[in-house]
Amino acid sequence: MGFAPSKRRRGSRQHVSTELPIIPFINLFMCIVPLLLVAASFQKVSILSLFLPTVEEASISVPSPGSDMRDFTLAVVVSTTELSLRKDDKVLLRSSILGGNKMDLPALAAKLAEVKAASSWKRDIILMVDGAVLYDTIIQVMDAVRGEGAQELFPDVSLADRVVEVR
Amino acid sequence: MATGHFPSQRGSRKRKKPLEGGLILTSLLDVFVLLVFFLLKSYSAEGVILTLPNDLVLPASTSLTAPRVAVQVMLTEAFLQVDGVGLDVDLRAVETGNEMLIPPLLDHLKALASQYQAIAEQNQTVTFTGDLILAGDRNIPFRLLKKILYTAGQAGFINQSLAVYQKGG
Repeated sequence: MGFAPSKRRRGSRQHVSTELPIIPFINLFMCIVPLLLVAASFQKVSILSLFLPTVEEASISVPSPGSDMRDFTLAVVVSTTELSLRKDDKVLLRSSILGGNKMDLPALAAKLAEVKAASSWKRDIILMVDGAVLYDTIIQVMDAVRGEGAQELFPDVSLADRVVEVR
Repeated sequence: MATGHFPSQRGSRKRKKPLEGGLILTSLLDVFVLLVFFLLKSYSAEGVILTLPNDLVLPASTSLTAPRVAVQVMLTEAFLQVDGVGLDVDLRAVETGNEMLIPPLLDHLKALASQYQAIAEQNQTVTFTGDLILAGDRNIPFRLLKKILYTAGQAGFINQSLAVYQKGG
């Protein structure tokens, strides 16, 4: 009887594989990963449309009743040293640009939000830029002027040359 | 010596766990799953419309508008390209000069515009909208930028857009 292997030992030797078949998964991933790598774009490019008012469009902007009906020209003047917001001939905000690139854009956005609240039909704004101002700075100001997400300020941005004031 | 108290050498060797020779694939699978999710996040179905040269760094913006198919003008301080074709323009002289028009750019864009208009005449489904995307380096000054935009406008490309990098994208 001592030579006969016990039933218990024989049972433990039977291996039931509980592992998942991983190799097919890996095969699948090996196909998906290169496919996605080819189609991935890590730095997304988007565009900012410029607004060019035409003669026909200039007369279309109809103010809604109940708001400030009179149309006005809103302009942000950007030079290398100063950033100012003008409504017709009146200067609403004036801030100096420190160290070339440090602009007080939140203050500009806050002031623009005030103007927008008073006349919500207004969509266009002119950016009057000095020749020496860098493209990067223009885009930053355009972002502030357009507003972000739900709080849309003035999305129709036109670019113009800054007229040097003669005093 | 009673053999029952001391397990034989043979018996103990049999009870030892057999050495596994396979690779550990679970961790590899984890890596793949993470990689797939990361790549799915940055997946873009429309492909790359703008292919930028290495030395052109666009400014970053919060704009989310996707670029459309249009005539592409690439501008840095060193070169000017229209749809991948380099133009022989002395940008330093253009920047400092008083002339608003850039003649080589104007001629090239006018030729492109007339080409598109000819196609639009032949094919009713195509219309010439005057779309133009300007991909300018972040360090170019406005006095150069405005001359490019002005020249493009004079050539009939009035639907102008500026290419930017998406912030946080």
